[in-house]
Amino acid sequence: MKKETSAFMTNLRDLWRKVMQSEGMKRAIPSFIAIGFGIGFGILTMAIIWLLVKLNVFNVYNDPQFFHGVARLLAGGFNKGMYSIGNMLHRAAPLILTGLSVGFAFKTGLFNIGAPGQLLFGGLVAIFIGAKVTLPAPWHWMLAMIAGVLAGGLWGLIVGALKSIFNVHEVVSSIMMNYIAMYFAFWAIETFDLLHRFYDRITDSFRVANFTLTLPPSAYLPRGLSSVFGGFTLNIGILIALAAVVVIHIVLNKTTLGYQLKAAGYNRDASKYAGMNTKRDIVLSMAISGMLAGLAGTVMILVPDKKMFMDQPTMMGEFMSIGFDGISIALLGLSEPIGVGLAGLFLAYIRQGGDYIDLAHYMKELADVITSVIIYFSALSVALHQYMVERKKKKAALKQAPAGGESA
Amino acid sequence: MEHVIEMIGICKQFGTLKANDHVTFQLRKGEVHALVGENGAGKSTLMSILFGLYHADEGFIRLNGEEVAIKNPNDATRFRIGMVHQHFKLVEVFTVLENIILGSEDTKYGFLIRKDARKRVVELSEKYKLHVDPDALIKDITVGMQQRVEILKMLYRDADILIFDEPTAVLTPQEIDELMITIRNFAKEGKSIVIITHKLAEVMAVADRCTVLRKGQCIGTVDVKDTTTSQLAEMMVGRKVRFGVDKSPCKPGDVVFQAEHLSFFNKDKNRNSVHDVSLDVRAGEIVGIAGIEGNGQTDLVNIITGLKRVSAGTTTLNGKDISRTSIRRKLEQGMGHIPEDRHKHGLVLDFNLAENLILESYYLAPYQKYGLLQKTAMYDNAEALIERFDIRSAAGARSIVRSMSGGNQQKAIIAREITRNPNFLIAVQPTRGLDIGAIEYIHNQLLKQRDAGNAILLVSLELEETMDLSDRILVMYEGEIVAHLDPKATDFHEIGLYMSGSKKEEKA
Repeated sequence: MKKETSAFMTNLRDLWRKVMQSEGMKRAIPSFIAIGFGIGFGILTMAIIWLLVKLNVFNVYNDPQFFHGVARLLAGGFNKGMYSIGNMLHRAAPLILTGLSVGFAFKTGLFNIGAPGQLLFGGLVAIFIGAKVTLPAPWHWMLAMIAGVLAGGLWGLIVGALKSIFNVHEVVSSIMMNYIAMYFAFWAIETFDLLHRFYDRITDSFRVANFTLTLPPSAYLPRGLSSVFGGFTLNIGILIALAAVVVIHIVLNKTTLGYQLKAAGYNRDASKYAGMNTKRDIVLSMAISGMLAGLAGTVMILVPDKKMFMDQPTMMGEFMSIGFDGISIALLGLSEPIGVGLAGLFLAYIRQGGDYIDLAHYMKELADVITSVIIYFSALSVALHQYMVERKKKKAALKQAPAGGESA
Repeated sequence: MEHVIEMIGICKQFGTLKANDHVTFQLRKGEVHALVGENGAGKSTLMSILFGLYHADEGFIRLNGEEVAIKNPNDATRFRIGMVHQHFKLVEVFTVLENIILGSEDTKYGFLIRKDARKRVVELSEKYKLHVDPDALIKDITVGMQQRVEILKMLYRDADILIFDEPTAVLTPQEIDELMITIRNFAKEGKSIVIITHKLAEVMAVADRCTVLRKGQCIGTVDVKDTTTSQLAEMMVGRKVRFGVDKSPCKPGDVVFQAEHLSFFNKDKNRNSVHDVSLDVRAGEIVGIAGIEGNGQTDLVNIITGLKRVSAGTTTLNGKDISRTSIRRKLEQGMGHIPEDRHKHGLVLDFNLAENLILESYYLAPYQKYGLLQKTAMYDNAEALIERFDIRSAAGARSIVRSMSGGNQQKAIIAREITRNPNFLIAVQPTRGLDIGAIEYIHNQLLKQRDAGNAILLVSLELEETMDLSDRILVMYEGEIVAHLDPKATDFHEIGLYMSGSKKEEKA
C-alpha cells in the first residue's frame, strides 16, 4: 500500500517536472511575472486609498481595512466556497471566448479590436431570435446561439473584407463597427420591442419596465445543478467556452487551415509567394474571430432576467467591456488557446475577488478600479515584454547586417 | 613607414557572434588598402568601429601615432575620416548640393548660405573629375552619380582617410574603371584609402596592400604585387577554391516558358518599370538576365510569378497561358521560384524548418488528410531534405528558421523549390550574401537542374555569376531588354555598355 503511494507520488513528480520544463511553461513565465506585477500594482492602489483615508485627505463612513481587503481580493473566486466558484466560472465563459477571438486574430496577424461590437451584434441577434421565435427548449437556444455566432462572424467578416479589398486598417474599421453595433442595438431593442413593457395608467402608455429582456425560458442556456455550486445556478456557458478552447487549439495547431492562417499572420508576403490566397485568409480570420466574439455575446445574453440599459456608459461598461477585456486576456495568454483559457479564468477570479472587497469597507466603485489596475497592468507588462523582445530581435538583426555584409 | 591609422587588438562581439576577434589593422599614408573577406568575416564591423558607429569591446585606435577615442561619426569627421557606405546615406528629395553640405551648413541669421558651398563643391568636382550637377535631385540621378555625391561629401569635409564599403556592387564595369582611377588619384595626392570588398579582381587592380579577415580574425596583410588571386582566395576561405564552374554543353530542347510583350506599370515610379519585354526559356538551358539594380528585373520577376499583376502581355508555361492565373496554379503547373528576398518572400521566419519546407505543398497529400496537417509526413520530409541538401541548424527539423544562418536558409528554399521538381525555375539572386562554399553548392544545384532538362531563368546582379552559369544572357536597361548575348562571345566590357544604356541592340 505504502509502495503504491510512493510510486504514485514519483509519477506525479515526473508529470510536474515535465509540465514545468515544457516549452509552453517556459513561454508562460513572462505571463506569470506580469500577473505578479499587476497584482502588486493593484495592492499598491489599495494601499494608497487606505493611506489617503488614514491621512484624512477624504473621509468615509467606515475606514477601509487594508489587509482584510487584500485577503478578500486575493481569495478571488474562493471567497464564498462553491457559490463563488460557480459565479467565477459563469463570469469566465464570455471572457475566455472574447480572449480566444482576439487571440485568434493576433495569431493570424490581425488586431481585432472589434470584439465588443461583434459580441454585441451577436448577442443582439440572439435576443431577437430568443424573443421573436417560438420553439421548444433545446432547439430555441441552439438556434439563437447559432444565429448569434453567425452574426458576430458577419460583423468580423465586414472588417476583414474592408481590409482585403480596400486595404482599410482593421483597427480603424473595427472601432467604427463597435459604434455601429452599439447604436444599432439601441435602435433595434427599441424598434423590435425587446424589453418588458407594462401599461402606465398615469401617462396612458406602455413603458419599459426595469429593462429586462423579454426572453422566454426556452431560450435560456441549459443550467446545471445549483446544489453543487452552493445555490449558484451555473449554465453551460463555461463548457461551451472550454470546448471552443479545444476547437481553436486544434484548428490552429493541427489543421492545414490553421497552418495557412498562421503563415499569413507571421509573413503575409511569404504566404502570398507560396500561393496562398492571403486576401481570403484575412476575411476568414476576421470571420472566425468575429464568430468567437459573437458566441461570447450569446453566452452573456441567453440567461434569465438579463438587463439591458439603453445608454452608452452602461452598454460600454457592462457589455462591451467584456470584448475589450479580450485584448488583455489574449495578451496574457500569449494568444495560445490554452493560455487564453487560463487567463480568462484568472480575470474572472480577480473580478470575483473585487466583488468581495466591500466587506473590508472598500467602496464597491473602487473595486472596479482596483481589479482593472491589476488586469491592465498585467496585460501591459506582457505587451511591454513582447515589445522589448521584438526590439531586441530587430536590433540584433540590425547589428548582424553590417557584420553580415550583404553583397548587392 | 608611417601609419596614419592603427587599429590594435580590436574585439567586438554581437551576442554570441565574435564579429572581430583581436583584429589588428594598419593603414599607411598614401596607400590603397583593400580589406577582404567573405560575408560575415567582420570587414564592415571593423570599419564601422573606425568610423565611430560601433565601439570596440577591446583594443584601441591610434591616429598618426596618438591614441584616440572615436565615439561617434562626428569624431571620425573631425579626425578627417570619411566613409562611403554600401547603402548610400542620401536624402532623396534634396539636391546634390544640399546633400553634400547636410550637417555642416553655413548659416546666417538662421538662413542657409549656399553660395560659398556651391563654389567649393564645383571646385572639388572639377579637381577630381567627379562630375555632378549640384542642383539635380538625388532621386533623379543614377546610382553611379549618387556615389560621386557621397565621395564629394567626404571631400567637402576635408577627409584624408577614405573608407569605401563595397563601392563597386552597384556600378557597371565602366563606372568601376572610372572609380578605380579616382581612387588611385586620391592615393597620389597623399590620401589614405580603405576599400572593403569581396571581389579579388578589384583588389589586384587597385590596391597596394591587402588585409584578409576570416570569421572575425585577421589572417594577414600582404603586398598585392607579391600575391595572386588564388592565394588571396585561399586566405579568405581557408581552403583551395576552384574558380569558374564546370559546365557541360547546353542542349536546349523545346520552349518551356515564353513571355510576350510584357509590361508593368509601377505606381510608385509612375512609369512602366517593365516595358514590352519578350523572352523565352527552353528546356535544359539557363537564361541569365543581367542589369544594374533597379532596371526592372524585380518587377519582371514579380509579374512572371504573379506577385504583381501584369499590365499587358502574356506569359506561357508548357503551352498554357498563365498570364493571369493565381500563384498557386502557376506553382502547380511547374513553376519554381527562388525569391530575391528570402526573408520577405522565401520563408516564414517564425515557423520551424519542417513547416517552411512544405510552404507550397502543405495542402497536398501526404501533408494533408481530412484537412488535418500530417506532422509525421512533414517531419519525415524535412529529415530527408536536411540529409540530401546538407541544411545545418541547431535543432534540425524543429529549428526556428529565424535562428538559422543565411546560407542554410537559402539552402532550405532551394531544397523546397527543387524537390517540387518544377520544369521552369526562376532563381533571383540565388547566392546573395552567401559564402563561397554555399555559392559553389548552389551553382552546382542549378546546373544539375539544367542538365536534368529543366528551364531556368536566372536573375542576378553579380555579373560574374550570370556569365558563369548562363547559356544565354539578356541585358535589361530601364525596363527593356536591350541585348541578347552569348556568354562565350561577349565580355564584361560589352555587357557593361549595354547595362549602362550606352549601347542598344536594334529591335528586330
